[in-house]
Amino acid sequence: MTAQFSERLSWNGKKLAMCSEPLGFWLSANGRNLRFAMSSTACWRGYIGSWKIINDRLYLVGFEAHSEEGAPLGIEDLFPGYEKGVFAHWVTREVRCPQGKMLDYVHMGYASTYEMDLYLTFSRGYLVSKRLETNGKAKEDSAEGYGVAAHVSFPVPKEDK
Amino acid sequence: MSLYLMLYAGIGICIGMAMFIYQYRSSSDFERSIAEAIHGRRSWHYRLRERLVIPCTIILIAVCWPLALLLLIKELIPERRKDVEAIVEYPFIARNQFLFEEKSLKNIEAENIYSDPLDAVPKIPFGHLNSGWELFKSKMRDGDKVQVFKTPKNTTYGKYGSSLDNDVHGYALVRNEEIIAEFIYESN
Repeated sequence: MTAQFSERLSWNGKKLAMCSEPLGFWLSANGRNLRFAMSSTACWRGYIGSWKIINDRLYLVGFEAHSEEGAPLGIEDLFPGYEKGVFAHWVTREVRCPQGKMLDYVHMGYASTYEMDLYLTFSRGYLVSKRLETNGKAKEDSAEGYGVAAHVSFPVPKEDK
Repeated sequence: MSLYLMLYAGIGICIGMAMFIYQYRSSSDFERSIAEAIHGRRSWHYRLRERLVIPCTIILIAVCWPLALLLLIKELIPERRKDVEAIVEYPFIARNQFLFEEKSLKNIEAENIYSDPLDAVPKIPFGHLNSGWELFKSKMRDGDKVQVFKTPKNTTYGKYGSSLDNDVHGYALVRNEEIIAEFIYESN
């Protein structure tokens, strides 16, 4: 499995890469058999969600995907009437946000390691704790921030009009 | 004696070469580019080790070719696969031993209306998970009961015996002491 694109998290004005997929539970638990077109080996889940923490609450504020028929999908297709944001009350888990330079690249899932990991723990959508773990010091020329080194992209099917 | 030794080594070298030709597949430009993108340019000792693998293997096969031949034959004969029986241990994360009090639908729904200062959640039972809850309710028949469950972490579940990372909370639909459906409202 190729290294995967992360979800995007905005918190206190900072843009973070979130190596966890909180929307996966909603997709399976809500009984909706949604399928997305895959356009890259670095995005097996077929979508990228944008999240924001506002007043210690987690919100889904953006969603990018294509249906299997090729139609672009946004947050309004998943949550009609909630285009501005969705309170993610189903999220009770820890999420990992790698930070700093890359220590070791692993071409699988979210397995690459970085200088630091910020762990945020949510309970029913509320941020309840955070901790920063230091993993080591990277070489001077190491890449900064989360990234995927190689992936194959392919076009999504064109939507029939 | 030396004739037998030469014959033995000759057969070994032939087998070694044949195995090399049989298995040989040069990497494509694409594979080389991907490898370079992922690993960068390999060090000289790594490349040397890589180049020594084949000659060393051929020498090894020349010395102990009967064993190599045996392994090759074994590889060519399709292995009789033992059918691994798919063991469906538990279809649900909920288990009878982790069931707690019975609750009425009315109480559950009243307890699970969420509010949000940005109005980013509907004021219906289980908010954005409401359609999953409605699906759960639709499976209910007369005489069924809904019980709270809390399955502790590290409990194995599912077809492949995965282990839970955290405690899982939810509601189970119970019919004649048997779990019929479950509704989980928090990710883990």
